[in-house]
Amino acid sequence: LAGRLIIVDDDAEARTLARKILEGGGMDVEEAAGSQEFFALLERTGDPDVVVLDLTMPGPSGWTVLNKLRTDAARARLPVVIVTSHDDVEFKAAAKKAGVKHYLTKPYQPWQLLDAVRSSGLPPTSDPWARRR
Amino acid sequence: LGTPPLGREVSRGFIALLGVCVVGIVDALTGRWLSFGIFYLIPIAWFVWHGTRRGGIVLSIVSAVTWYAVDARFNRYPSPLYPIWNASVRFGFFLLVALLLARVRTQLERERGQNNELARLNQALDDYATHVAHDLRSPIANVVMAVGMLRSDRAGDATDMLEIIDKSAARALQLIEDLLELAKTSATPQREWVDLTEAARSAAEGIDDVDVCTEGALHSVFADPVIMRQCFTNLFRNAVTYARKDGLRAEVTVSCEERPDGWVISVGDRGPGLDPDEQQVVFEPFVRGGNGDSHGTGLGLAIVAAAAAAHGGRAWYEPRVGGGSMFRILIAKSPVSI
Repeated sequence: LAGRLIIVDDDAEARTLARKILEGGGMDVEEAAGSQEFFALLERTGDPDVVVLDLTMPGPSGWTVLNKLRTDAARARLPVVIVTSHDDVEFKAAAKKAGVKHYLTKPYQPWQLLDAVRSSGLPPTSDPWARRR
Repeated sequence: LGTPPLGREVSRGFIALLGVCVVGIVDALTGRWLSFGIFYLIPIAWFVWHGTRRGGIVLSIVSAVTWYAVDARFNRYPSPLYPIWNASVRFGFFLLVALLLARVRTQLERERGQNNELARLNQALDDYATHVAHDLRSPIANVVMAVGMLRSDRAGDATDMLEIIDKSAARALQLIEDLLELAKTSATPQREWVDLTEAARSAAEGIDDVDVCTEGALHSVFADPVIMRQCFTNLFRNAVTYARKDGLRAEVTVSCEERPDGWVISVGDRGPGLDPDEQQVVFEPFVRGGNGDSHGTGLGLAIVAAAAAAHGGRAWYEPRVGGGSMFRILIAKSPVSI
């Protein structure tokens, strides 16, 4: 069974890139261009296995999404992978405090995203992306 | 700068006067052989430092008179003019100290104000640089990743990756152009009489998906023609980004009202309008609305605000009657145009 993911990012090109990578990893991917769209999608289709979240977005930011998830008892443990352009120590610390285990800075390597998503509790699937370590 | 409210000035003045009286009484009680002149400076200096200059002058007079009263009680002079002369010299001394101290205080306060302003500007510059770095990093990261995927031969259809490279590079370029535009707009405008109808028409020609209609006759305004056109371009683009219903063209109205102090140019749309918290920050750089379906640089309205400021005016937002947004710019009449 493939894992189901939602990518939340206002940058359409960044969403497409992440989608290509994750679909290549055999995952079922949905996209949301902002926080409102994301929560609408949650209501409509239910919780995914992992959320891939950008932090800086117009309107309610990724932090708002993270806070809302963490304060919702039913979704407090929903795995979140942060993917952002902010290579910032304070941001990383704040994300860690909010229970985020994986914080990726753009540009990232495809295997980094797949690793992060997989170790967030997705079932193992075939890996077309050779690791380059 | 640093002037206390009148009530506090009066109450401190009383405390300082009390101080002068205490020094006067001690001066009188200790007799003619001990000089206490310098101690009068304590209440004077205290008041000037925490109160006002004029209070310092009043206290100098009061101190000189007190000292004169004490002096006249203990010393007999061949002529009454001697103690008056001595008191005047004392007064000059008190006054000099009070004025110098007031000057030092003002100078220090001014420097502190300048330092605070510098620190604020420095912080703003840091924030600006952080924003630019982040906003440039995103599209360039897309390009780097798309190229990496093309190289790895696992991207599948190359068209998608090329499209990402194309769009992201265009976005980075647009950001750089807007940054340059923002810097240029803040410079002194080269004013001439600008036909607003023409400026709006020419701006609209450069943008797809916008219909512009003018409300009433548009005045000519005395302003920088390039900047005016840029303002229209940005406001129209803003309407296309945020006020366009799916697939339809954005409709904007342009109007201009002449006031004694300048011209108010208004650009209205029938989009969803702005939330109250968005209204506060919409003209700040790098602020993007949450409702947009395309990716702006977040600099368009900041350029409009900078243009208005460069013309001695300002830009502001109002909810439009009947729904939508109304962006207004005040262009102040320059002294030469009156």
